[in-house]
Amino acid sequence: MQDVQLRSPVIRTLNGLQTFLLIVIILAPITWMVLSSFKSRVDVTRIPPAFLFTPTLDNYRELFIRSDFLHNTLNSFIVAGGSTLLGLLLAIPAAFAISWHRFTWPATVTLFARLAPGTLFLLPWFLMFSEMRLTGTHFVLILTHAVITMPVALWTLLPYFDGFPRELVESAQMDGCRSGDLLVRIVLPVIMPGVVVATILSFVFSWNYFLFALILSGNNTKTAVVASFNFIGEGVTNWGALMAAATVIALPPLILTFIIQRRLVAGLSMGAVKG
Amino acid sequence: MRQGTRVAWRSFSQLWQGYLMPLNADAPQGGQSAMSVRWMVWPAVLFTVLLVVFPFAYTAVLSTQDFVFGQDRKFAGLDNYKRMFTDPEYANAFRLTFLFFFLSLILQLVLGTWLAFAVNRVTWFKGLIRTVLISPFMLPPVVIGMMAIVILDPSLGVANYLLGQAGIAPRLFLAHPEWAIGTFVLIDAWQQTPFVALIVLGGLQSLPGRVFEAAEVDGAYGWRRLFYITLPLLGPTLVTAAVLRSVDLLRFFDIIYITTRGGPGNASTTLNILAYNRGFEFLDIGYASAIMISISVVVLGSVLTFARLRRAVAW
Amino acid sequence: MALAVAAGAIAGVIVAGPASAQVDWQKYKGQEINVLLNNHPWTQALRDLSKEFTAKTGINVKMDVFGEEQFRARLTTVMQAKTGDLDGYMSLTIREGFVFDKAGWYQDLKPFIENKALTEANWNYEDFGAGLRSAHTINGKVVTIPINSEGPLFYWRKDIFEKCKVPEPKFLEDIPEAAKALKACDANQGVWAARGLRPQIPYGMAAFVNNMGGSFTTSEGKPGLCQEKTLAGLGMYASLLKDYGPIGAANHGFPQVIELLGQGRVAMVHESSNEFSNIMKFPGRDKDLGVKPLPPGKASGVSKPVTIGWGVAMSPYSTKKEATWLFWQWVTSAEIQGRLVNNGVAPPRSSVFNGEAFKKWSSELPIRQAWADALVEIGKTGTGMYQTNTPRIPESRELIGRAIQEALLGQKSIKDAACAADADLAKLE
Repeated sequence: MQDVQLRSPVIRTLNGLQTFLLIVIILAPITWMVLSSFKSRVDVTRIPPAFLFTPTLDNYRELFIRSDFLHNTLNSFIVAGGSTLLGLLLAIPAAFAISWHRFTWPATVTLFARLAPGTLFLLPWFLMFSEMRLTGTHFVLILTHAVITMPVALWTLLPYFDGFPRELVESAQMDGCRSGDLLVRIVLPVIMPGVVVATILSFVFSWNYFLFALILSGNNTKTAVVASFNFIGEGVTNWGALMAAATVIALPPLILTFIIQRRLVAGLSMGAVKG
Repeated sequence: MRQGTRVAWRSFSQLWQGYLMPLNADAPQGGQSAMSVRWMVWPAVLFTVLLVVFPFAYTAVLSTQDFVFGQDRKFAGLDNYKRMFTDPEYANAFRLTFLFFFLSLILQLVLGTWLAFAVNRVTWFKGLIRTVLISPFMLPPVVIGMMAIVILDPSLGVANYLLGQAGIAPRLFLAHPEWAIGTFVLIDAWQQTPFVALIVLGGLQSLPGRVFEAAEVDGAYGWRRLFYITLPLLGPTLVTAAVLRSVDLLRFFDIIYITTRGGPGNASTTLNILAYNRGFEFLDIGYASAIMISISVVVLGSVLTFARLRRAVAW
Repeated sequence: MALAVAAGAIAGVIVAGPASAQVDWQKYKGQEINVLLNNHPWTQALRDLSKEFTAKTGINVKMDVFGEEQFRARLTTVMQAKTGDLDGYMSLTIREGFVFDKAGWYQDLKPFIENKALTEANWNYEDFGAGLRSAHTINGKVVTIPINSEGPLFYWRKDIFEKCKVPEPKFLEDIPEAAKALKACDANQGVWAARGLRPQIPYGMAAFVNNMGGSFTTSEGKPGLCQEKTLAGLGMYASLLKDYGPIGAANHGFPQVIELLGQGRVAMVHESSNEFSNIMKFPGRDKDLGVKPLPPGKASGVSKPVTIGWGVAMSPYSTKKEATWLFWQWVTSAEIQGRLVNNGVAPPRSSVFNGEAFKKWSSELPIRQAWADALVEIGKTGTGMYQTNTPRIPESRELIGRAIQEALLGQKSIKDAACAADADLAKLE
């Protein structure tokens, strides 16, 4: 869009102010949370609020030494990583086929997961998986989280596949390339940016999701988001540790976001979908 | 990148048209060559059928039963649904869900569009600013909920303290017996407006330049350009953003679960929370299943409605 | 003569031999059991101790700990699946006992208790008071073994009362008076905080009703919120919170109430005894707080606090019942319960309560002694019932809580709210 704006200083200042305001609104709560994670238990809820305080690492000690949080974080990585991989494995071929043949019913079918509330899946899944003695395993968590990552990956990838020149595919095919090879050797390298966006988005949404892990994870496989609930309980509520847990949980998504923000903006504005 | 973005955007819109109107015959059929890769969709489809469609069917079956944990299970036909329609709690949840939905959608679309325009003009520190702007919706709901609890608690939180310093009376926020849902609207707007902004941004950046050039020649700029040209052209984009948001807004659960569990009273008991409470707190599985099915129907309905809408604003 | 004595001695040895047969703690070595626990001071204390159990028996214990609401959702889902995934779990018998028993989710523990090869002779089931034992027994089955006792206690800031020259409330009716006086004395000092979340209200509020001479049920056993004395109790709780409670009370659960007390922002609360060790962590509270059961009603003369106790149960679908029993036995033994006292877990065993370790701990600070005394008292006079007569307990509590909330928020008068609640409660019967 050709944006012929009046470059008057007034407008520019207003724009700058506007952006500044936005940044403050967005960063303020996050900063508060991170600061609170370094506060002593009493300081977190002190009124007047402790803007100046003596920082302490106690909360993080509580997380990593007294509790199993490191293990839980690791589990989150395993589940998010695994489900992203599974989601991509399912979505990449499907997106290719949907884009090539221009038929939409498969994509519509994957819409099902987004119609229903997450709670709808809990009981049937639990019954299904306990029959199969799979509850509490990483496998079941990866499988169920793939229900979230696969649609995300699919819809993020579609526009990229659509943008790939059909003639290249056709000529490769005429050269005798089989479809599987074609996908992997010819199309995928070109749409790699799309794959990166899909990967990151899938990872983050899987990482953030707590409902399935709440019911389906076991002792050894509890994810970080589920474990953070443990800091609230009668006689044991620990706001500082809660803030520390929240900070730790927020870090990977934030770091990943920073790494790929440019691609992400482009990819999302092509209409990627949140699970 | 510009050209590519535009192409991508157009194909994407075509594709959305396809999803939203599955029975529409305009969508181009078939492949262009002899190569058939249709089989490649099967893994994804089978996965969905096994893991998604099956539980769906199972829940539908449960919804026809009078099933409370710890008591006998009987077949009950449509009783649960009949109960739903006469249950004041359900009516309240329905009202709250839609109130939340409309308020949030309008707020997020308006703010998102404004934000998109603002971001479009940013010249320095693009990377950093964009990261900051995207960050809210990359955060886990657990984190957002905990931030909300600590910051917005009327007695213990820093929000009321700051308001007090500015001379404003303390607000109840999430503890308000009627307008707790309003605070959720604001929280979700904080989190999701950037997402809407990004979609609109993409749309903005792929609008055909010629139209604007022609308009300028005709003397349309500033507000007139905005209202008579830009916004109407953004129509399909806005509908797309609306669809993407509605699916999540209508099923809004996570943050309410973490902060108020539907309270105070039932001031924030949306349909999804109601279903959870009935199912996992009161162990009334049959009824909870019926509520969950009704939510799915509502979501489907909204997607189809937006499909119609999109045809109306397409250009 | 010497022969007779020798024969007697030999006979004595022979008789004494088998009678002192020990339980073979190592018999199930190598097994692994899974237990699901609620996040509770007891659980926190147990996490460190369970390593000792593993050292003693070679049985590996996997403890799955969750916040109470998540714990409950998890437990019901797991038990519903009827698998051997879970061997033991914590249960609040007074809340869910009836429903769980009906669903067949409790393993009868009596055979295990009576099995001499599995239970040490000195484990002594009778050490748990008769009332307690009966609360954990349903239809003749021992469903859970008590692990603690707890109940709401009245905590107040002695120093604030002194400063404002307000006497310590001796009777229930004194509390609103005190609140008024304290408020007049120092407008910036919060005076009262209590639970405002619906499902959590009845626990802290029932004693108000009881001590005013009322009850949640009528003499025929039907819902009786609308009775005169009950209304007095309900009304007092609601108006205390409304007139003197903190802003946003309707969303407050125990975490917020304790935070407020700990931070020194309120002068009185009626909160769980479990929160004791938590409150002590705030600077100054160990010296300036007083704690006792909720004062009796002046007019009624009744003191009937709420007291409950968690217990540990065994899943009937477990495939490692003996190993699980060994763990529960060890955990509920006098020795271990004595050690858990240091974490603020009130022991349900009389021997521990009166034992050396507890006496030493409670004598270290006057407030600890007060807490211990309060617990003894509520153990004697308390009741575990704080809803109407129905197996659908969570729903009943929610409705009772709703009535209070409506009055608290000014939506209805307490009378209208209570009588409307009765009508809905009747449907649960």
